[in-house]
Amino acid sequence: MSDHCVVIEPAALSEFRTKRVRRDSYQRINSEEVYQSFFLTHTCYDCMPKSGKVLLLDARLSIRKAFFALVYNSVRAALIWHASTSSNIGLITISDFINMLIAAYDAKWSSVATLESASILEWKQNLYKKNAVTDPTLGSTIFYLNPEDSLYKAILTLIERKVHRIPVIHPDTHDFLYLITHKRILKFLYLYIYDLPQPHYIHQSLSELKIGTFNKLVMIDLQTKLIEVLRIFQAIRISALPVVDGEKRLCGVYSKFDIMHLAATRTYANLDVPLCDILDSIHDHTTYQLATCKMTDQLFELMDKFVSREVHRLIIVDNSQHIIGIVSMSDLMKFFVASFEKLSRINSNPLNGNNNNNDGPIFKSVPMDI
Amino acid sequence: MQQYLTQQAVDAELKSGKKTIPVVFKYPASPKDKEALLAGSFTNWKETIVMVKSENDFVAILDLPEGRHEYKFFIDGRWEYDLNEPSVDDSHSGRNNVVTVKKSDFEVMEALQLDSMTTSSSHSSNINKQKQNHPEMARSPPGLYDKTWPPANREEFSPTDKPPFLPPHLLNIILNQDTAAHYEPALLPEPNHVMLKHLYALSIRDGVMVLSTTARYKQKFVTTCFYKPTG
Repeated sequence: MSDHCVVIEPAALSEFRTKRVRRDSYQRINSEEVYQSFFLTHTCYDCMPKSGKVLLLDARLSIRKAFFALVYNSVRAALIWHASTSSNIGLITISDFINMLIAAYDAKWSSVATLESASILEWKQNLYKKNAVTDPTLGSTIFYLNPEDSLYKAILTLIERKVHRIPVIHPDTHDFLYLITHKRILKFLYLYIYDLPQPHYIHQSLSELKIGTFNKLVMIDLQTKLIEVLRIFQAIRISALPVVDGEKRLCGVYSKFDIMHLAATRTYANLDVPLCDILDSIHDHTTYQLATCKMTDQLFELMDKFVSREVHRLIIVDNSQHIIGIVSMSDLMKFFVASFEKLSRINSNPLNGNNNNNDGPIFKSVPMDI
Repeated sequence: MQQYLTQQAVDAELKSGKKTIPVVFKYPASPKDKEALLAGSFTNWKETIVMVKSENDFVAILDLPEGRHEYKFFIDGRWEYDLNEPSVDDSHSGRNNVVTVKKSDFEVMEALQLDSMTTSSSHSSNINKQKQNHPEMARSPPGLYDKTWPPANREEFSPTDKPPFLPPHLLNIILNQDTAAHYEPALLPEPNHVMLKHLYALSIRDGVMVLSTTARYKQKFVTTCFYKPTG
């Protein structure tokens, strides 16, 4: 915001002042704390797109139509609206679709008609029954964030709940504003990254920082059947799998989002196809480039790749394209939070007074997904 | 008062079966002119009628019977006639303007009256009553001023009646516009404020109705697409 601009509206003026205070505070605080300070002083509203689209699906909509709605809008999730209780009862995501496909496959497709006709509500109710959740209101108290919640709280909640997205809903009007994700938060930080002082770790390499997953990596090859891929997604809650060729070199990535392709082409009835048949139809090999990184890449380069390549994870490879590990956006966020925690242990009062406003649950280190 | 008497005379003529039509008298005023009176054969040159100044003219409207009427203006103590209107010699070495009410003029009036009678007869009679109750008020030009109500049932609509055109800015739907950021499909172009709080609908297909509306939250905008089964 320019210092010359004339702001008349009192609300706008106070906002202008708080922004100036924020900027001043960046100068005063230790550059090591700058991201933490950034996440604490910016809200979910700040991170919201200027003009965005959200999808709301009636709970009576059939599952198949729900997925066509996602595919048509090329979004990854939608909020489910339960008209008779006038409440949002949850999110429908690609994971739901995977679970449904597996259920249909296991039932030898006898329930494929169910997939076509069953409503989202029936599906969610079955899911709750299976997970022995005895909630008669069917999760009418879905988890959401307030637009005035800090980004710090959003990150902690995303990590703690091991989810990719949380709806941001206005608490009074119950208006669904947008879905907050790690990706959006990182992109938002990246907009300001050159204005902010740089913490030392931003120029450290991956091998020094040791972010990511290096042990017990799950890989698939081109002969892996699609149903097996889906089962891996369902079992260990990861969002993508690296695909290797016969020499164990990286040759592709199959992500949960690629399953949307099945819905779009209506080819989900055959889950026994090997992956090599599908990968070609998803990615154009002449232009498609895998998002990879090296152990020598600095954190800053990783952030740049996440943002510019629009990916959620980077495959760490050596010079001969052998997979060493995977670093995901969640790993990066966990690293940020962990570095803040380390700082708060060193300084007893690190958050210049901001700590006392409800930051929500304090992050407890949880075992990583992968 | 003078006008009132004139109106009485005219009303008397009306009662005696003579028809009248309204005639507009205009005198182009110069800025220094303050008061204008109208005199004429229609009052036997006895009474004068106060004219009303409207922008550049003094105006009076009188109901006159068929025939030739001579008249003259009395402007701030001077007798004047309008050079742009037809005039004749008076018998006092001056000139009088002249107006002729022809039979054909009545036919036009009758046609107009018939029109107004068919649309609302009670209303026009109210206007006449009002005229009689407040004769000192300057009367409006003739004709009908009411609004005609559209017919209540569909059958009475003429087939050419169509709903009004949609304002052009509402045809510009942000959901239909391509966004530059293909990788982030949830982003939309910034809406114009006139687009807010309107309901957009996609034609029902495959038993699904899609409704959408754009709302503002603080300085940002959210377009909600709602998918609902029609069954």
